[in-house]
Amino acid sequence: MSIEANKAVVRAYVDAILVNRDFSKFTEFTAPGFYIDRSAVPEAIQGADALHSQMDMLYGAFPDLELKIVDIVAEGDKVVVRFQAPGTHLHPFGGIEGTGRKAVWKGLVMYHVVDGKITEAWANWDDWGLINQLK
Amino acid sequence: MSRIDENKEAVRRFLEEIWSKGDQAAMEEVLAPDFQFILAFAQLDGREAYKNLVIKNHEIFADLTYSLASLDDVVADEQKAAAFWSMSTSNHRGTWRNVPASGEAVAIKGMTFFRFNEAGKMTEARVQNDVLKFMLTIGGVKKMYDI
Repeated sequence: MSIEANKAVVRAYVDAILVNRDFSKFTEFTAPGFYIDRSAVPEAIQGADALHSQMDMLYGAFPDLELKIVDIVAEGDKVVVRFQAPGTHLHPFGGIEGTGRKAVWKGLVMYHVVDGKITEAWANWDDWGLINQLK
Repeated sequence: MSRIDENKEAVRRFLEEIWSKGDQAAMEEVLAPDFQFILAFAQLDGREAYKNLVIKNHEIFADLTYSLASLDDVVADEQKAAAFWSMSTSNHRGTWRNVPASGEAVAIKGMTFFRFNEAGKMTEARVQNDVLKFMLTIGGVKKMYDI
């Protein structure tokens, strides 16, 4: 797969799975055994159900969350995305009751794409910054 | 060397020579004068401001070291790059962001997204790292989540 094709797979995955949360398409974009390693969190997010509940939790707290790709770089079988996700904090998140505040969650994620499917992702999201915007 | 390989080499030098060793000659070579260093919680404008941060952080954190597990952890094209890295210190020995010296050794991971200008100099580094783990280790936050 070309670098541009790998970028397209990641963009389509973000749109279908992370933004629209259409998990019926999960296996279109991810390989069996897909996981997300969030280095700040001890346990990786493994498989569709775990990611689905994670995303539902996030959109539950920030119903108007807009997960946007603001930059992208790719080489070989890797694609790195810089995300910005503005949203309004209406319901509990990280033990903090809804504040009505607008906050921006930022993150960098490195995806490994093999034969048109994402096999793994290493994510670093700014939990500290997000929580500080809610205090 | 292709521009892509030059950018990867710049990223390696940024972590291993500039951050880990505070090498000022490397800073002049790798960074554009208008280099911006952008953290989740702060932004430094200009190479000089960043240079001062490196010097200050080495005073606060003993044996401050940034490392790549391998060059596979650097992804680059002609204008941009990103890297997945580890950072460690053997002793948090000075006040950092209002948190007094804890004497703790800390190791965290992070990622940085880089941009380069036409001349191949680094103009921007946007950093995401495990600030939360870092703060928990050095006692900068007693309880973040209500568990």
